[in-house]
Amino acid sequence: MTADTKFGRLEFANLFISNEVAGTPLADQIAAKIKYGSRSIITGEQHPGNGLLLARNNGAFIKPCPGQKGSICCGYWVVEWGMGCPFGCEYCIIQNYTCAGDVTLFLNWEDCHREIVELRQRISGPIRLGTGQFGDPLALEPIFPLNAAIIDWTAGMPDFTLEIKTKSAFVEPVLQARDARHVTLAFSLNPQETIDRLEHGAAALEERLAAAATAARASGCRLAFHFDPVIPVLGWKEKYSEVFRIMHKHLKGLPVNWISLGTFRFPKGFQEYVEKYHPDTGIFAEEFYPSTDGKIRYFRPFREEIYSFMRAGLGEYFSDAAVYMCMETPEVWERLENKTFTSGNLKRLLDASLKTGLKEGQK
Amino acid sequence: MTNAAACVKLAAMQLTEYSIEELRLLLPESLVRAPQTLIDSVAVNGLLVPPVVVDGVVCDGHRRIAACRLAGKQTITCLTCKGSPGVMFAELNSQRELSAFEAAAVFARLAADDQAAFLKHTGLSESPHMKIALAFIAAEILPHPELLELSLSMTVWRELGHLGNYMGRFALPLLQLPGTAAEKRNIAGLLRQAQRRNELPEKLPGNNAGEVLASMQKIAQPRRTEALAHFDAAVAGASLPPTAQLRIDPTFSQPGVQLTINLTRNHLDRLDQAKAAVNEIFAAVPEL
Repeated sequence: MTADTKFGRLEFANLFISNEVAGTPLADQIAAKIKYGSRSIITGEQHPGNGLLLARNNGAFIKPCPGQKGSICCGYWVVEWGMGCPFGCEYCIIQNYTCAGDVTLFLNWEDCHREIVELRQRISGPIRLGTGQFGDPLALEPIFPLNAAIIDWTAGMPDFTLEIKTKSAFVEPVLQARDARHVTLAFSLNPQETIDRLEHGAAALEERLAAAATAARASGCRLAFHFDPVIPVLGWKEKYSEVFRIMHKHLKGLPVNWISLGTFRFPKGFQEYVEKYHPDTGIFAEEFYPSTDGKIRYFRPFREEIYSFMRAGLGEYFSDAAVYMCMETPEVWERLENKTFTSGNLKRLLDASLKTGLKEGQK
Repeated sequence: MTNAAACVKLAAMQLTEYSIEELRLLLPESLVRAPQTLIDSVAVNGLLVPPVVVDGVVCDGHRRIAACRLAGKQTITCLTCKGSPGVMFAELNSQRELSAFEAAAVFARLAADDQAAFLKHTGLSESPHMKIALAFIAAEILPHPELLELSLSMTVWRELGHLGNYMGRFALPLLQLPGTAAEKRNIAGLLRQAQRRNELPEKLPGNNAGEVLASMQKIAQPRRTEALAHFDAAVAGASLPPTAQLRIDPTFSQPGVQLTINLTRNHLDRLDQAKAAVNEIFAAVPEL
């Protein structure tokens, strides 16, 4: 797959359309917006490989974030809109799941809409719902404008935020929304050198931050940032400090809900996969050890050093934002917080930040 | 192909009488050892299960043929079929794990088009590193029968294959290194990690697996090595009471220590002593 996300032109070797969605207006719209080598109608939602599959989601669209058993998790909800990403980030687990670039998109949006409404009715208290779990949602938005639709469906929904995470600078769905005050527009960040080396096809650091600032100023949406994965390359402290300075330059005075930190981690066998496609990747040069939850992570004291540094650095510029670790072990949380810290504590921290934000946004 | 599928294929084959001398073996003779029980059985009962042959090349039944030869047989009835002898060998042996030497010997004789099918049937990964490892074994080890007494697991060979041009520097010394299979597996993993860090040593650093493992950990896992050194020094300097033992997670994934101590009615003060000593250790080892 090749992509020019800025102009929404995506090219796939094959377009597969499940017979359950063939002939629907959305399937026809998507087919008209992409380039593809061959087109075929198939049965079921199993991706045949090497291309784009348009299918029906016969399971649930809205799910609790799977998190990781044994990690501290934040009580997030995710939209399973499909899977796949036009960006080729070398560290990304999605490519491991989807055979390097295959994309599946589910077209029965009416079920997605219904499930979001039901979720709001069923769950009391703040809801944080994200679309970035299974790929970069805004990178695919030009052909699959589900985020724009969800923004519209959920406008005015009480105690609710839609988090849209991206590594692109394509923020049109937020800019064009009739009301985006309930949107948390989130960007994954890394030093530009890491972006150049590992995040193939993604927007440059300053492009992302400029897009964030533009969207927040123009639409009233709030912002979030994710340093995930943090990759401690040579001179990492200086490089991440520079990112904090650049963030401050672009974002001074803008509302930031939260900033997450996650050091690079992966399941067993992931190295083999990455090194097959990227034999010269440097991302496995550090020391890694298995954690109790089965994930392989950097040396635990080194992770703590990284988090301490990042939290202090971000605290200088973004003291009002909740800074948290994503998918970290209780031991690391306890050592950094000097107290026992549970998933419930983290959920309350982020929910509180959301409540503050909603009040400000509704002023 | 599954064994069942292979059986269907075999059912369509013909039985043909071969002179033992005209049969060509797929595996080198040095890798084929017929057990005495098989030789005795062949001498008494004859060959009960015919070997499988493709174009005169034996692809299943090497040990039976060796047993027939040792039992003084001149001819053997074989099943003949068509196809790639190497792929047929892999199909007919898919129920067992091939040794690295067997796999390399057969792989070396495969046409390029048959390599993928062979790797699939043997359960080996179709990666360039596996192919490098198999090619290395065929070129550097199989010609030396004295080396065939030794062994490394396929996992180790695959790790060594990742070393690419540096494989020759470490593979033979590791094969010949005194040590356990587990130690050698860990050494191979550490070599690969050292390569990722661009810190491969000039040779295996040590004369046995224990020494090499310790040295390689220093090279490939400097953070852990340093933390362990801090811990060892702190324990040596701390005044732990008699009977007290400290254990830690050697990867430091779990912080803290496990303290075991036998207390008696007359020695409850040892608990306070232990607490003071552990406090000293915590102060000296921030990684804990």
